[in-house]
Amino acid sequence: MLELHDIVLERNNVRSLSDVNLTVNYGETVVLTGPSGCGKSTLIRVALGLIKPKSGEVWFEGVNLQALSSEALRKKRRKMGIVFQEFQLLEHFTVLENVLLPLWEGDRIRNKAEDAIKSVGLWDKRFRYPRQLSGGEKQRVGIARALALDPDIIFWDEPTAALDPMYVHEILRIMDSLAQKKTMLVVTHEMPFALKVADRLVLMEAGKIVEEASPSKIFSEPSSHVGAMYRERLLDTREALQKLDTKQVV
Amino acid sequence: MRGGFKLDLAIVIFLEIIVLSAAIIVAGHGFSFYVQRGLDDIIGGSDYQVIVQVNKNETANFIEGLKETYSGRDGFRYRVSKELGENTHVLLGYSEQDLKNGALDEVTRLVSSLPGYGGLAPLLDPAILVKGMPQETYPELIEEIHTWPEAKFAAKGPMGLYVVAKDRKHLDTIQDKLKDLTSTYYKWELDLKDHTNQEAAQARKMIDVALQGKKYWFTAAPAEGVIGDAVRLLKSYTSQLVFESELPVGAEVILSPETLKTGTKPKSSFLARVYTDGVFLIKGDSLELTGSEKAYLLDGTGYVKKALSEYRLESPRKDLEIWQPVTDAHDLQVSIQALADKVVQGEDFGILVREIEQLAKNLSLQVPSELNSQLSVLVLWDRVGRLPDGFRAELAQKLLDWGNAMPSDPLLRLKQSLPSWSDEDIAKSWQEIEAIARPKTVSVVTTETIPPIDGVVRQPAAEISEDIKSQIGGVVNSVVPFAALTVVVILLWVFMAIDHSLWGSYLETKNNHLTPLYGWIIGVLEMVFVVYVMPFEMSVIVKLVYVIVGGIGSAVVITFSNRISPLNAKSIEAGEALGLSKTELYRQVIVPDGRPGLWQLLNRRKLLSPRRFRNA
Ligand SMILES: Nc1ncnc2c1ncn2[C@@H]1O[C@H](COP(=O)(O)OP(=O)(O)OP(=O)(O)O)[C@@H](O)[C@H]1O
Ligand SMILES: [Mg+2]
Repeated sequence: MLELHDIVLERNNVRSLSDVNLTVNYGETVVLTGPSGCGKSTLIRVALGLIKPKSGEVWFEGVNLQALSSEALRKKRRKMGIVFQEFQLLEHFTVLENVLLPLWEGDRIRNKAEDAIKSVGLWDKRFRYPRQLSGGEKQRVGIARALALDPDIIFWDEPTAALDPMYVHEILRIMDSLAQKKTMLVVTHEMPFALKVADRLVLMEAGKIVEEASPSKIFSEPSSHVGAMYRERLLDTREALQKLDTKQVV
Repeated sequence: MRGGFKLDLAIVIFLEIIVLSAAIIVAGHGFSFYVQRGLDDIIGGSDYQVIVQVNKNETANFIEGLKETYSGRDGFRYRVSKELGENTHVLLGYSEQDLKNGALDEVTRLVSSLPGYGGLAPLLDPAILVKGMPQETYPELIEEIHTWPEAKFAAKGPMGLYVVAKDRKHLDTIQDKLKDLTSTYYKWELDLKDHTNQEAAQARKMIDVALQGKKYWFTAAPAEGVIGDAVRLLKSYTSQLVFESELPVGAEVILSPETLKTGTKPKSSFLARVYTDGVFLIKGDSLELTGSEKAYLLDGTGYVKKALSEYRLESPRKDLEIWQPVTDAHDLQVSIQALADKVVQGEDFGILVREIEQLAKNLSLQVPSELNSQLSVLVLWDRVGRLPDGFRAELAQKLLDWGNAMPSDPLLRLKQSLPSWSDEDIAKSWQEIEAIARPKTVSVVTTETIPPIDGVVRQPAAEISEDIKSQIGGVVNSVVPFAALTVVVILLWVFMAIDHSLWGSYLETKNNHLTPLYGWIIGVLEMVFVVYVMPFEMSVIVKLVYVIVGGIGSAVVITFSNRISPLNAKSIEAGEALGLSKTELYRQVIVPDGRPGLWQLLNRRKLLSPRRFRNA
């Protein structure tokens, strides 16, 4: 459904993406991860058509985004949802209005937004302004907003990175449940989540995709040093959990 | 709902022009009203032609009298203005017709006898002042001027003939017309060699003869007039000797109790000198004369020339001795304290005299005419700046002492408290003043073109220039657009800046390098419109300044758009990612996210509202 072919992105002779090839199939949940600054967010922007790559093509639902007029691209983009790391809600709108915003130039059907708000459990707070919400709640608004258009694919750009640990779980749970019915490209460092939910794990480093396989494969026998690093982290976590378990038994 | 970004921008610009114009009008008129109000209170304003100071207690009576005199004249107005000390300022205004009919002269006569009269107020109207023309020519000139369409009215004022224009732009025309009108009058000036009064009198006689049967008027500089008055008045307080026979002008007369021989050089404390207008005592004091002294003419080197026949002594100072107390007074302290304060503060002695009169009236006391005379001398001395050092402080102290002592007749003590000037003192005074004011020229205004006498210099009689108060008025008027401009510039920076920078930020999102140019063009266009609709008459330069400042302001604002109205890149990205069009991105994200301004206000109607959604 989403295909990136040989994407090269360059600015001032600095390459931030080089020869990136990535495919996300219908219903698939792909987790993309890698060290900070390796180009994950940029990749998502390219996928959304917000940035034009220097070379390469982005195909979405059988259409080459580069070939579209800006108006057609805008229409196409409405089939994609995005959840940002820093929520990026509009402070001057209420929860309801924020979620209504993507529908404003569309069919203007209110229930769509209301259903999305209900699905993230914020119905009671729909008339609040973002500043009156907790971080977790803000991100739930961000999710509802992405869902309002009933997108074919949802991009997640580190949706839990700006959250207190206590809110991370509630967001991951929503993501988990959405992963059952939606095509998703998730940028995250939450490896347990990747292990549990991802159909495929893609590892990036310095603007390149260095490894791509099922999470279990990567975590068991990584072929890149980024993969090895994530495996370490996961093992550390497991070790810690085991410690906790034995302690509880004792 | 559609209509797009460009329409929004156009409406914003239109609104800005309206706001700017309104600001200019409000600021301009507000400022000129404010200034006018202030000037009204100081000098009577443009509607009010006369300012009168009236004693506080007399205000009601005075107003009654005014109403009676001027009832039925619809143009007449008055306003009771500030209180200054004991006096109230009353501003009087007249209609144009009244002024043409000589209301100013009329009111001068009416008010000049009032206590505290402050004279004719300066006019703020655009006016030309004609100096140097004899007052006798005024009626004829005024009649002619009143036929001019540019002139509002002409009237005699304190400095000359005032010609008030209907509009400031007529001043030049009026000035030219006045030059024409007065061009038949010349001023002839004859230099004096010795600068003596005699020489001047002789010159005048010569001119009288030369111009017999012609129209001519002798003129004196205003200062000479005041000093001449002072000398004459001071002389009237100096004791005079009156002889049967005529004595040579310039000669000296000695008074001696002893019999003197011809040819001896006498010593005496009493000396008089012969002037054209009388023989005045210039040494000694007539109060010390016994009346048995004999008079001798001196020869110019100080020796007795001959004994003179009987003479009569006319001494105003003699009267001082025979003045008797009239009544008691016991509640004076407060009034005296106030009086003393004013003396120290430098209150005009003329006003003090009136206050003393008032005080006496309140206490049913009579002010002896001698005291009045003495005070009148003070008035003059003060006006010609010849009051002794520390005199005021001394007088104030004496007034207080007098009040504290509660004398049987306060005014008698007041008289005693005044410095005792002898005839000699007074004579010295007027001699000194006269020395300063020796006539240097004799001048005459005439319609003749041929000089009446050899050696005279001819020049036009009338000095025509814009009145100084009119110039102040002009400055006030020209300040108005600048005040408005200031307000506009402030508005531009504080209020408009937001809209312009929003637009600038928008252009920057398009990476538009011509942004400052657009800003400049928009600013210039706005200002051109604003200047076009502005109701003030302004010079081209001021208009240009508006346009340039507007343009530069807008260009600068737009250049710094991102600092003034920073765009939130993340919000924009979110909006873009949600598939918003440029217009909606601006309406829903950028404008409401920016700083509050006109645009944001206007944008409110375009904001997404849940009510505009329907249920499926
Ligand atoms: N439009 C663009 N064109 C070219 N390079 C870009 C563009 N936008 C961002 N970059 C560059 O891409 C690089 C990667 O940035 P990016 O934010 O995608 O990293 P990231 O992997 O998301 O890191 P993080 O984990 O910190 O979010 C940066 O060096 C950035 O300067
Ligand atoms: Mg990122």
